[in-house]
Amino acid sequence: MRFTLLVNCGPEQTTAYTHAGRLCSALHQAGHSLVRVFFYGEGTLAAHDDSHWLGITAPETERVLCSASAELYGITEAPEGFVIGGLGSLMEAGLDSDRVIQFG
Amino acid sequence: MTGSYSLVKPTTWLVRVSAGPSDLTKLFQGLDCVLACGAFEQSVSVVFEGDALAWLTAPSNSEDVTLVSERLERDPIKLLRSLPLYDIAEIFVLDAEKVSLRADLNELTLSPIGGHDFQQLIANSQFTLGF
Repeated sequence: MRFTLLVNCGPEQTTAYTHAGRLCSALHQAGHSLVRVFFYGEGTLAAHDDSHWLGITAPETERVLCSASAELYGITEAPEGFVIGGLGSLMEAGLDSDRVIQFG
Repeated sequence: MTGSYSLVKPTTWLVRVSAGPSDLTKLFQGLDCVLACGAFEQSVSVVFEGDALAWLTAPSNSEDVTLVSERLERDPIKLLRSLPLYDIAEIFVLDAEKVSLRADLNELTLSPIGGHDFQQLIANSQFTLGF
């Protein structure tokens, strides 16, 4: 099954943030495909913890920071391994994912 | 960026908004998702529930809302008024049978729904997001 995760919580919201990370690992172990992790709102702050997300997602997983949210939180450049994109990336989940799971 | 945005196959999204005047940022996030669905010609249903009903029913004179609006340079009511431009003119309201829409949102239609209708709405949607 193909999944997209919407991470709408910052690293300080430890429960949801940790659960999102654990689900990434569990999906990988279970043989599912994680198409994309879309970081939205405070979730864009997760990019500061980039090594965490790079470690638990497959190389082919898109890690997208919402452009408007990134601007709001003062992120001007995407860290390596992430891209900055619009909500259209999230809408694409309608085409390429069987499930969208939101955290936060 | 992630390639082509030609979303030829409409997907049914359900966006639940429960953020009240104390969480304007969350409201904007929800409405932005709704507008993105409209812009990319996806089918979307919008449900306002709980504290979010305050946005639809009464002008907010809260200093906090004004301050955050000014900081974000966005007006939540203008955003709500733009929904019909994206063919989103109906807003479902959960467990609120006697809600009167504030006058400056009269281009929207409020449709009260109960628990059973809400379950159907969720069942008929491919993806559900909550803000």
